[in-house]
Amino acid sequence: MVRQMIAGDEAAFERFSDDYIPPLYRFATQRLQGDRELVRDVVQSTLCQVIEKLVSFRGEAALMTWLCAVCRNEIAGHFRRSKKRAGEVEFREDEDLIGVSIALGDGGIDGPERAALRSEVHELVHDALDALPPHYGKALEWKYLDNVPVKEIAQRLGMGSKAAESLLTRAREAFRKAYANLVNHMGPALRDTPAASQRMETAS
Amino acid sequence: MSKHFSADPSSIPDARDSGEVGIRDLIQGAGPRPAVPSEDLARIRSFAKEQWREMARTARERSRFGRNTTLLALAASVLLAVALGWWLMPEWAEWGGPAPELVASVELVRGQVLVDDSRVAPGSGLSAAAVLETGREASGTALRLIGGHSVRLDKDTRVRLTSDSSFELERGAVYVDSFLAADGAGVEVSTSYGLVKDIGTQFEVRIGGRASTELTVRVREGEVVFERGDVTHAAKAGEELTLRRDSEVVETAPIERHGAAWDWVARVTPPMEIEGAPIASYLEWVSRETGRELRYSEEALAKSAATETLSGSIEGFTPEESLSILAGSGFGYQVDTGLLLIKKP
Repeated sequence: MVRQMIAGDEAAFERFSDDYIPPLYRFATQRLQGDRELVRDVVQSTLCQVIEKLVSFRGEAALMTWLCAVCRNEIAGHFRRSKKRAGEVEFREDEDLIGVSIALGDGGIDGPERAALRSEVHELVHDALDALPPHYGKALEWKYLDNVPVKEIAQRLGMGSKAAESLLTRAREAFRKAYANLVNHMGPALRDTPAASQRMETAS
Repeated sequence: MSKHFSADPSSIPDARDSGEVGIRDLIQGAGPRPAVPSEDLARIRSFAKEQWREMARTARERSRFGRNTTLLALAASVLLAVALGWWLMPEWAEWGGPAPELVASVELVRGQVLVDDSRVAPGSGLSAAAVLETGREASGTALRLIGGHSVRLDKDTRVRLTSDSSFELERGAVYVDSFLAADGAGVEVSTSYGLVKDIGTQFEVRIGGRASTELTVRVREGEVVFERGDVTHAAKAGEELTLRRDSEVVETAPIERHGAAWDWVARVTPPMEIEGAPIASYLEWVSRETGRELRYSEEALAKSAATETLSGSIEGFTPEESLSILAGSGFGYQVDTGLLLIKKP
């Protein structure tokens, strides 16, 4: 897709826009407390840099990883310019996640706070889906949220049913790894907590 | 109905053993990913499309330039062969002038960069008297002088090369890094305000920064000397000299050696070749290129960094962006004011 974009293929650009702009927007929104104007600026600035450097993209890093790295840098730059330290921003983010996770494992929180914590876990799930190759994320949502039969998923992806089954298996495995990575990045404080392995139950 | 949710990945059943229940519940519990407001999405797409069209157009031009360069190279080979013939035949040699002296090569190009009014590509050789000019927006370039100095040009900058260790800055800003220069070899930057000489250092010289009639010299590392007539001023790391065209006064002020004021330099920093390089060498490079002190949270990490090596490439990333390659390497990092702290992930 990157090569086609460089060659001026408009369909490739449309695919890039469909697949990567929404996850990038969500990535920035979470880190900028939903300030829409600022999110737009940061996302546009990120895209400007990435598109400009697309010719030098070698694919060692996944495209989404690259977009997130540049976006994170843009956000740090924003806080730096507004006199906040970039390090503080990243630290605060990690600290929040660690706090959330320990509290979830602890199981002693009820009421609105618990609902807020659950929402944090949902964000982790969305982050993990955004981190997957776009068609993996879509396939998992079609199957588990929209209850789309495998046969139709296969049609939407332009493949046979067997291949779609196989893709769903790979997508689940990739989701498992992406989710594990997100949690592992929360640091040893979480991983070493016995309560962290507990499962939480809640009525839906 | 009861649902499970957990932040812990070990609580997701393995699909091979017990099916997909855990993943299904997690995804169902989280619901659909939030949609992007349609107005924002439309604006961002439209902006990105403009950027993409410009990038694709430039890529096509570069491709044509590359083909033309190949043809020119062929033509140059023929000319070279003829010239060589002249040189080998004594009766012709006295008519042949000396070949232009190469004094630098182009390491990196961003946006529009012209040499003697023609677009230039990375790898091109530059002769003395070559005039380089960068575009007004989103452009810049990095050169390597034959003497070893790295010279980076900001956007809207015009420079005339004069030798393998000197050049004239006519407009805009340059950044010089003498790290790889031969021992004792300095570089000289001539300006209409006076002459800037380095003493093993990293520094920026800018004409027309805060005011159009002003020259600033900002020193990140080492020391520079500014000469105007018989008067000499020195600036050390973390200092900035400011000179005005209509005044003899030279002001000195402290500056930070990292941060947004140096961002343009990062954008035209040639990437380090990291394949097989020790992690410690790479981190020292990032530290130097970002003006931040490198520190390890524990001794064991410093020892590991000295022995473990990297693979791949960081092309396309600024030094700070490239730190993302540490993900999964057993090294974490925190970029703080003036500090690059290496810690466990």
